[in-house]
Amino acid sequence: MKKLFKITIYSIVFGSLFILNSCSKSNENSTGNIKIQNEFIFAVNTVPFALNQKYVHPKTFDTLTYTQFRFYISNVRIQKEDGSWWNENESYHLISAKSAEEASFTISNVPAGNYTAMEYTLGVDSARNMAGAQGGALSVANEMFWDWNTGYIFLKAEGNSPQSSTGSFAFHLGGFSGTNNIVTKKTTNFNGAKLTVSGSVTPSIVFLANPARLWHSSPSVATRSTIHMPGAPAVTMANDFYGNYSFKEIK
Amino acid sequence: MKWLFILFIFFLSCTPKAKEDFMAMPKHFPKPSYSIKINENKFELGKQLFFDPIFSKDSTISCGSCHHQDVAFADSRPFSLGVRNQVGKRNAPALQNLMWSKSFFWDGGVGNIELIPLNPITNHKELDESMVNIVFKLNRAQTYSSQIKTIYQTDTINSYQVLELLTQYQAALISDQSKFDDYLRGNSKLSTEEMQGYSLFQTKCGSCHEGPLQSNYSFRNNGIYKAGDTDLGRYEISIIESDKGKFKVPSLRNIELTAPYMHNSSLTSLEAVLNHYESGIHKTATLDSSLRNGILFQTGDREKIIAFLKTLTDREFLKTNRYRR
Repeated sequence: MKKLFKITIYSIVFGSLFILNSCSKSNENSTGNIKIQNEFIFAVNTVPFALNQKYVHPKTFDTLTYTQFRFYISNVRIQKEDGSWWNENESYHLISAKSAEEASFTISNVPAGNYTAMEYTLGVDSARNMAGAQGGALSVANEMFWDWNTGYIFLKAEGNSPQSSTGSFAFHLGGFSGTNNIVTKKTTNFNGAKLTVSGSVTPSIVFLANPARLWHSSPSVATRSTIHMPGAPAVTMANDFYGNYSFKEIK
Repeated sequence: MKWLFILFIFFLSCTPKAKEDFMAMPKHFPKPSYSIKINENKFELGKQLFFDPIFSKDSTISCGSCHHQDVAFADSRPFSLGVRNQVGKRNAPALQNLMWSKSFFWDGGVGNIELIPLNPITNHKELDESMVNIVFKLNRAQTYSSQIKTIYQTDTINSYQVLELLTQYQAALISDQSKFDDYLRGNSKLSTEEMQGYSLFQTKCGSCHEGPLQSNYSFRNNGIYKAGDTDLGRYEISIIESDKGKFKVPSLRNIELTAPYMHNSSLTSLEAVLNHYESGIHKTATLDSSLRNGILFQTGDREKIIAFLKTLTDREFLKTNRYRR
């Protein structure tokens, strides 16, 4: 009897260990990737946007040819059905309109499950602005950094325009403190859709970015063709672009 | 257990003999703003980079061209010469005890010690180069490839590492061997005149030039700025009206040797500096409240204060081979 009891105990202990072990193993395997894509449009949803093409702005009537359009997305987190959040580690991504590849990034090791919301920051948090030399998306080699007035350039729009007195335009938007702060945290609930992460397929979350929005309430490049530091003009431009930046679809 | 111990020994022997933290922190200084451990290998390579003209667009000048050790890594020229002999707009600051500063440059525009080099590198009137191109040139030249291999176990260098190496050198520029330091450590006394000067200095200048570092690193309008000046100092960074004409309070360490003085190099001697504070102050809206009536000196005060200021000279710092290429 005593022996049988011992065996039972042993089998329970080892059995549960086995189960626990297999559980943790299956957890390890059940992660997946998410692709975050940015689609660029100009002014209205029907006009696709690309660099080195001429566009006439519907509000300022400036003719604009963008040679560069880049911006930071950072601190991505997603919310599970049960309300818990999963944060991406070291979450800093530089988006460029140069190519579909450079306009997207992949988040990996996301626990499998259904997600109902995503939070993200347009710009770079103030701590990282002051944190000194860094690598990856935040490397100064990306030339998205002000060397004389410490801070990241959150958004860089450069190009040419005959309306500008110099023939070109360069808008470098940034600022992380006081009234110049343009670090913008946004959330989307995927318009009610569900994001399903599993090991087998990589879903894409698509966002819409509209470079024309920089001039939604800012003057023609004839009036101002450059911004090179934080301040009120940068706040206006950033608010217009960031405010309009939005979730499009999950695919 | 035994093999764990053996593994441990093995691990120890595998670790390269890193000469971490080979610079001693001065005990009489406050806590530094940055906790940087100086690694000797990185410091040595950082030093070579500091003096390498590869950092300028036309490979003519280096960091060391405008920051000379014999004058506390400042420049005796009113305004340093950049590439193509272009003249800068502010006096090159001394490089010393940078780890204790919270912001850098006269306007405090740079907020982290590691980012100091970017400013002179990219300024068109200074080195006029880009970090991307410097990294490219360094990797092409391969001058330091064996050192890079030793330090980073890689064949090439990147911008992060270039900044780290320059930081290792600049952070190690610690001046703590002046007569004043000896006095603060309790190792020696100041002369009667120096002591009288120190006491005058504390009451008349010590609210800004405070402590062993000789600065509180705040931004003040000390009456050098005058109506019509184009250099607006801190305002150029903050765009706050009340910052117009304010500049960072510099440390007075090695002040005997770092003439000309002030952001615009307008004063050429310590006597001229004291005369400025007594009777040369320009009254503008942002003038520091402590300077509204100037600073009054009695007969003999100036000499005593200057005698004290000379105790801030650190001959060891100015001469040591450690900082030489």
